[in-house]
Amino acid sequence: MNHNMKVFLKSFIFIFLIIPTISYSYEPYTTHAGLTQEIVDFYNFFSYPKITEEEKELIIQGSIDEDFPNDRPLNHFYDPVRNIGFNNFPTSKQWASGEIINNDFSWQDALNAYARGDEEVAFKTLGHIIHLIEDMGVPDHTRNDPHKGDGIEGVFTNESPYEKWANDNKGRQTLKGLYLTFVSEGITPKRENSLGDYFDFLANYSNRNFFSRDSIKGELYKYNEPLEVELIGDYMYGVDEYNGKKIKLYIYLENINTGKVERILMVGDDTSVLSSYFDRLSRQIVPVGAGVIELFFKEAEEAKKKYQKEREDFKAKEELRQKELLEANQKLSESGFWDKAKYKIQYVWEYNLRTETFAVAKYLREFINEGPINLSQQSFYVYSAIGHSTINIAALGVVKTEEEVKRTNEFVQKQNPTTLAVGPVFAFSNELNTNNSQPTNETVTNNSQLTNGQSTPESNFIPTLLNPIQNPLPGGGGGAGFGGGMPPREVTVSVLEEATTTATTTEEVTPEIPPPDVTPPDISVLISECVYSLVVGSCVIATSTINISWTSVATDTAHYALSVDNVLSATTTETGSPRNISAGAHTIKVLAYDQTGNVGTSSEITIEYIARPLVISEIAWAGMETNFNNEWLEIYNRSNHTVNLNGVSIKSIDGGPDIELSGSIGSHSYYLIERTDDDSVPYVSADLIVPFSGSGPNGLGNTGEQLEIIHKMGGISVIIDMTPAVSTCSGWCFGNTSNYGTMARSNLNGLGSVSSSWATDDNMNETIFNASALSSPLVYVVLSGTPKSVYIYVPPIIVPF
Amino acid sequence: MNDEDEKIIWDRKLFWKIIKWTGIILVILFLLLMEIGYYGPKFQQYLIKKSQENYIAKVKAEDKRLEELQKNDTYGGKTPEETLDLYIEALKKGDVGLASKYYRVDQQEEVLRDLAEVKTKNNLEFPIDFATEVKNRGNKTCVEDNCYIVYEYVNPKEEILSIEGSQDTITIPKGNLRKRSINLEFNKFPNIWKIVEP
Repeated sequence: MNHNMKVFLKSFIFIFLIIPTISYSYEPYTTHAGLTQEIVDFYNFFSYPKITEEEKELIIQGSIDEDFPNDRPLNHFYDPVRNIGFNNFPTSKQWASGEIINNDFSWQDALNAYARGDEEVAFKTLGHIIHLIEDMGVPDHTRNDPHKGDGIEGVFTNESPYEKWANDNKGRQTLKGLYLTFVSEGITPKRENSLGDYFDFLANYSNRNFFSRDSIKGELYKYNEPLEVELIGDYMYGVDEYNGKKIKLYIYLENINTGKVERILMVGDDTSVLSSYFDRLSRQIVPVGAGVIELFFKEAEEAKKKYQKEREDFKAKEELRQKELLEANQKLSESGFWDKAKYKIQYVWEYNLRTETFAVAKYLREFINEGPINLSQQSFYVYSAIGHSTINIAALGVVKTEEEVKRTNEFVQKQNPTTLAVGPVFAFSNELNTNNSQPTNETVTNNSQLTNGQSTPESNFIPTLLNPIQNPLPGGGGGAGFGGGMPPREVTVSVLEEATTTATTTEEVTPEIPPPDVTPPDISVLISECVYSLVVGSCVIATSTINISWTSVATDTAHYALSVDNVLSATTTETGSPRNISAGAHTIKVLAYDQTGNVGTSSEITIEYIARPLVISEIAWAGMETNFNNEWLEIYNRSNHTVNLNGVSIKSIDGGPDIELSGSIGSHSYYLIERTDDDSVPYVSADLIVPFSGSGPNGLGNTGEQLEIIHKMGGISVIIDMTPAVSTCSGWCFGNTSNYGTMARSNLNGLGSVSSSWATDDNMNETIFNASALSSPLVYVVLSGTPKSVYIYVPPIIVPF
Repeated sequence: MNDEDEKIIWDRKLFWKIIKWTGIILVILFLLLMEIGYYGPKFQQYLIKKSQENYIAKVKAEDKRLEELQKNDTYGGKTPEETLDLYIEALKKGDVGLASKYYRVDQQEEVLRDLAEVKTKNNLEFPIDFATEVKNRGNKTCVEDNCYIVYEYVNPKEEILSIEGSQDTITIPKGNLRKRSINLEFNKFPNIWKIVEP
């Protein structure tokens, strides 16, 4: 091996194996959390449906979780120029879509979870996707720069200076309210047609307009952009392709040993290049993230409709199949030996061979049509410098809706009445370049001044609220603003070029006589239990105790009055009240009175309390003759609503089983839970298959258990229904091991805790089927119990075929 | 049966033998492809997962190696200035091996290569002057375990400098405000300060 080869190999190992370590991009707990918070707030300003605080926290949590465990960040890279991920791994675009490699938090997973009503999972998964989008605003991630990361143990590897700076300076507190700055500038959510388009857009922007630490030197890949325009002092400047402004790209610094100059992103405590990077990147990340959330709701609603239709189809099919099975059993019981043999053959064909034969035929047909391997899935193994992205970012403008223009202008007028309607700052097309009347040199000067800590605002600078002003206008009734009637005062402003920097300045306001206050105070009301509603889209709970709280931004609110079913209670200055309500629907609203007598009314909340909407209707605690572990449970929905089972569990008071339910249960329908597999109740599909485990003993003990249906409402657990205590009957009150009879609810409307509501169901019914899908002998079985209301199950009597 | 007939019969046998074995091979190939078609994507996922696990294992091993080196590192001063003095002293002695050891362990090899080249060109005066000037005239800023000593000055004359990692040069005009900077990092294990490249 010659010397050059040795050097090459050594360099290769140095660059790709030793130095690059696991990179978390923006730090998850600080910068990712902060950016996600601003994305959701920005979305909420413009778009519907609104995201609640609880949902926002779930999204933020998801955006934090995406970095763990530590192999996930290896999929957070996407170089759009070469269409590759880091080190031959999938691109983050592929990772988000769940292609190539399995990702439990893909876009499709988020849509599926939302469709089936599991909003906790849906919003957390959406947070994972938002994290990936935010990473596209990190040049290291889109220029395929391993950026030497933090190192798994946090030892001895150089970090990306940009990420380190962002981690130290951009957290939830420092970023709070940043979205208002963007609103005031006329920026709106970015609209694209697909998730992939969002990845392409942001990745192209950060790739082509920014350097990462190691891709300046061109050791990894040589990129043509960003273009270097002018050297001023030690700073090299380029031009941002969106706003046409001259911006700092990097700093020249002499190497202590060689005297050659290096191109770096920060020197000592001079982080002006990095803060300028973040300022420009966050202006794209936040509107892109908000656009992704808009797209999510659009696609999720479609997925939900599809899911509901599929469920209805499945239910209809299942009912038909059950009907056919009952008819077949009827025929069988009336037929002779030869007819029975004929039915057996028909059965084997119908329920086993036919399906498998068609499946094999389908596979062969696909094989002939498409070939054995989907070649596109293999293609990512091939490193290719071809396939240069043709996406022209500059051509991608932003279309603002009329409503958005109106809302933006209202906001800006409120913030600064002298400012006219805001132009399309985010519409970074050529049009903007021509509109930019600010001389580029001036921008540079401003950047320089800002980094020196002097607060020289730009000519079109708009003061923005980072912290609420302490002295709002008298009688305004609607929060802080910049408008009228006060002597010169101090306001807190955000300097646009450096988002973390806040400076204090004095704004002259012409005194004028304040107009009379005729504005009613705003008032919003929250019933904390409704957050955990059992029904999606309305407030249905299983507890009679509710906690009502209300809030008003207006500073001159004097007192409140609570209205329950249009009956007003005495006025109060309190902002919350616990209440007990009777079964049925109730309307709740709150009235707010200000000091000048104006009255504001909150929107009306309808809340419905149902005692025992879900009940335990049948317990097959003895299992079946072939396997006593084949236990199952059945729940019945007594209500007139489809109940969302999020946060609902069924639990034994000894800790096991402890079963978290999922999905939903239709009105007056049954929900079947089978232990371990779907064979516990043959021919009836389980709604949930779980191991019947928990912190206590596994399975349903033959000596008795007391089961409860529990609805977790945040920190509070509400017991919806329960079976009799073990001491009531010295074990299970009903059911038996001799016939494997079940303990069935004879009175669905009665209390579950009393034995008179229960009975043993060991009615026998004869039927025929395979003991399992894989075994060949046919079996007759005698069934007892009524899982999902169909007579089925219990010990089989095997008849040789 | 003459030789010609025997040859024809043998040729026919061979023909059918080839056809038979070709058929068998094709069937095996067909079945194999079917299996690959079925398991291909799963196998592909397995390869990626395995590759990622290997990558992380290598990184962890390298981190561990570097941590050990860091723990056993004794080259450095108790203050940033002390480390710079030791570095300058080593350079004055012409001991570039010792001088490179005052850098963080993962950068020592690269620094040694640079210094060896500088020494070959009889130009060790440059790093000595650089370090001395920054140490004596620069402003020190420390944030947690990092210190930067930055010396700002006005370029006295136009200079043409080579750019690290490329063949290009850059002209720094006379009168430009310029900076020279040295970064140092605290090694918490033996409590010493190490020089780091920016």
